[in-house]
Amino acid sequence: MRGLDEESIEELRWEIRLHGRGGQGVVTASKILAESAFAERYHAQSIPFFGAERRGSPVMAFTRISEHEIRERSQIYTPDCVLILDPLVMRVLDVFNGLKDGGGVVISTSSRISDEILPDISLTLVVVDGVGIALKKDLLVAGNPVVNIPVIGAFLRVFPHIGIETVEKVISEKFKRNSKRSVKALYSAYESAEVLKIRGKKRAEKVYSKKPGKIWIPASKPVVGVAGKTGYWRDFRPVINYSRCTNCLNCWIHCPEGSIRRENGEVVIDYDYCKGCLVCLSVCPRRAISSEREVFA
Amino acid sequence: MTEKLLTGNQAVAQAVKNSRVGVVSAYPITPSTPVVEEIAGMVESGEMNARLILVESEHSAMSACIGASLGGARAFTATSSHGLAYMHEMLHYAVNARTPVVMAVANRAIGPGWNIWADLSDSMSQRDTGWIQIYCESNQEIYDSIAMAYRVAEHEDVLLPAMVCYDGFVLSHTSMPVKLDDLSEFLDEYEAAWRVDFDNPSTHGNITPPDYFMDLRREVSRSHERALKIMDRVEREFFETFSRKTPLIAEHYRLDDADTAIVAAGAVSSEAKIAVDNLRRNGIKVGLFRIRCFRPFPVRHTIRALDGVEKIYVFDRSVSIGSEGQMFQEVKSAFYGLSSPPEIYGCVVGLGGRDVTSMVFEKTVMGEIEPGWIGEVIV
Amino acid sequence: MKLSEIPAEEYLLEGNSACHGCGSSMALRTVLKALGKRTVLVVPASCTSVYQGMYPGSAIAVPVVNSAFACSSAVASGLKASLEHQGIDANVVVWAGDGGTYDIGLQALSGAAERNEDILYICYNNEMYSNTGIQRSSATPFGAWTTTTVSGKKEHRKDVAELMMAHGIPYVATASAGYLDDLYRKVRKAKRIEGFRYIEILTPCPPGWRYSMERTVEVAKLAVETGMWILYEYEHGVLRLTGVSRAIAAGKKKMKDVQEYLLLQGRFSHLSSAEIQEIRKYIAERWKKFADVRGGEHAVAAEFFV
Repeated sequence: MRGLDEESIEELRWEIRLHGRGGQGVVTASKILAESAFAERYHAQSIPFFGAERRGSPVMAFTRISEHEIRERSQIYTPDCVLILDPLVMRVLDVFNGLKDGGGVVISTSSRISDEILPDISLTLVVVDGVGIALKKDLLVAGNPVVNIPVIGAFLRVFPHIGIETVEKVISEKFKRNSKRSVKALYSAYESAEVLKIRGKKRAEKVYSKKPGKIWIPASKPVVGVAGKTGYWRDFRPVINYSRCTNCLNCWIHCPEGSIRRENGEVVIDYDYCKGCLVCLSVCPRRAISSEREVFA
Repeated sequence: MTEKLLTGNQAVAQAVKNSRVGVVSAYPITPSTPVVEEIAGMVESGEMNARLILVESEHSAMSACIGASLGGARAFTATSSHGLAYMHEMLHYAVNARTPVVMAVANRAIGPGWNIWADLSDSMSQRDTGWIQIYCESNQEIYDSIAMAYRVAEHEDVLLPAMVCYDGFVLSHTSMPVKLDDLSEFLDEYEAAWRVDFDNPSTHGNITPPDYFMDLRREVSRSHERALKIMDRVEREFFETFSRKTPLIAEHYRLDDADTAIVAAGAVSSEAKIAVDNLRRNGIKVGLFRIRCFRPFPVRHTIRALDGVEKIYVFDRSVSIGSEGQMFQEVKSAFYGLSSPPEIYGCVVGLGGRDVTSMVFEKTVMGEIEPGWIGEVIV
Repeated sequence: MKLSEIPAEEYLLEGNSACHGCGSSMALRTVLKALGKRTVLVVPASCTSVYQGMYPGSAIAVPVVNSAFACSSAVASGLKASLEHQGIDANVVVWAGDGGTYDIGLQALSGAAERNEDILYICYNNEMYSNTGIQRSSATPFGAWTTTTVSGKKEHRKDVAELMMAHGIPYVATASAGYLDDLYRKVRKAKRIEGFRYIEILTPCPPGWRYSMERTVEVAKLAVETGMWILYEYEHGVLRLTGVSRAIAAGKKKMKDVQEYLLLQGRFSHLSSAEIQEIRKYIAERWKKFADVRGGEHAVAAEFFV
């Protein structure tokens, strides 16, 4: 990212693309960044990209920060920095698409980032355990950890143009009396984020391609996984202890997803699509289902 | 084949029956109400084999027609004015849903200043919804147009809804002789493109993301382009079947050697023909280009028909407020970029049922009345 | 009934885009199992129009017609007439949210009910416009926070199931995502009845109601146990409480205090004790009307089962 490498700064202008899943606060993060930049007297723009998905599925947002008026109204295709609120999004989307050489990547994850998943360009990588911080600071919405504030905190480590106190002020105004936990998470992430410089080979820039399609009748065919492998939406994994299970079928009938199957006289969870809502755990009369924090290898 | 003295609305009802429509759904509004009354009578007596759904609003009437069309039945409704405006959302819906519903529109002004009389503003203001629009001059043309509209709308290269428009009262309540041809030779059974199929189910009309939506709209637009070709063919086949020349895209009236042309649509164009005859008697070389199909707009037909004409007067019985008459806009736009285009003038006449006589056309062509908003009823 | 009697076939396919712990998708799964293969679903704008997935895929394995917001009842009327005209037998079923039922779709619903169209209308009521991001509807209960009632809704909700009874249709029932066996039984019954049928299901929404996603069933059950939601069937002019509501009316089960229900949900977290008292009063009055006046005798006299 220009500015990061403290090279010559001719055109002060940054484009940031945020990736995450619904419910994680991607759009809010984009807004907080823009509002904070604005408070620092920059021109700023925050664009949400709403897919048609619900909580849990991949979403995108874009933030532009500039010293000059911003005339673009389009999405960001060649970002200076990508913020990844959830590493699972990397499995369904090319989150690094168009990222500029020397750009920045902020990832919220508790595991190590292997080099293979990163693009072949030189970049500044910032890693923060957003979920861990959210759980520790009790930042939950509808039971899901909210990782947007930790990611902003981590981003601020490498983006000197917005002061953390400015962001604190923006968060306090935005969330009012509920802002305390967010502010704590912000500082915790800022302090614990790990910054790495990575040197890669230059690679050709890919452009977004549109699928060709001739539509005659707007009708769709039934398919399992219309929203992708929704198993990746999981933060917690339900696990059946078969020694306690009586096959009462309460988990089966109540699974909102239909991800519990009746097979040969027992219930089986389809982890490809189970979103990890844990309704099954709550309706099990024998406490035969427990939950584990999900770690995708 | 029988010939009867029928009002425009009765002609519609007869055409709907003879087109073997399966589901009719409608809500009454003046001046199209008698269409549904006629159909209700025929359904009750068993003369017509259709399901009639008497809904609680025009929005629901169009919705029921869309449902019926998706279910595989030929569907029909009739409305006017506020009823058409109330349907607006579902007019768009019927287009993208690819449901070839046919609707009769007895054209009427939109209030307030409640006004039940003839004015094409109701259908003209729906011109961007993607419906095929056909305008009629006589009750015979109304009868023929309903059948022709189904032929075009249901064609596999088109699959779009169509409205057949005719001036309220001037045609809807005026009796004229109508030949009631047996339409079965001309119109086959409806074959729906999408089907309720329990063994091979599909979901109609779910979310279509940016990756696909523009292509979907592009297809709708292409279907409109194709519709003009199909209309040409349907016009010919209609003549071959019934030996009656009913234009579907446009009518050329004494245009061959004309240096001046009138462009009009709907009932007023019949008065324009009188004016053309009178002016011709006085040696003035004038003709009429009567637009039957306003959507898709026949750009090439217009240029070809008016090639060599020096002056064009376009008469709209409607207006796009803040701009001009809609037909005037289209005709001007058709000639854009051509070398030595004709002079084109626009006239707004007959709003809210103000009578339009042949004299208005004559005096305008003679230069005795300034084009623009022409309010006088000249007798 | 035994849960094993419910068919294993899935018509709502996994991997759709419903939220974690979605009460509506939970109910739809059961509804489709009860309806079976020969079903056409008409879905107006609502959460389901989103979680069924995007072109060219769909998460629903029966034919579906998506409709505009206000007109699902009219589209279904046309569809049914069309299929009947061609001699095709099918369950034509509207699956609409409370926005599409209580508010923008009410006129078309009333019209179709009055015409006694042969369709089954199912309202999944999550007590707000969830699809557009949690705004008030006329089904939102008193006191509930939504993004358009930031200090809590000032009015009590209206009751469309009651309104449907006033239309004199052959079958009206309420259900809850907390009692899916009861829902299954009611849909099976409605499927066999001719004419216009109306079933309304309370389907809690974790992000909208602000409770933790695994508690959907618990919340849906508590709504019934505290009297906030009453389970009943109305058939041929006779109203009969069912399940837990019936047990409460018969004195075989004690009604829980509504506070237990309210405390679980963030949307009620701001309520003052006076406002909670107002909700208690509302429950008592409504309960009296249902349990004592309209359904009391039948409910108490009939045999008890949950």
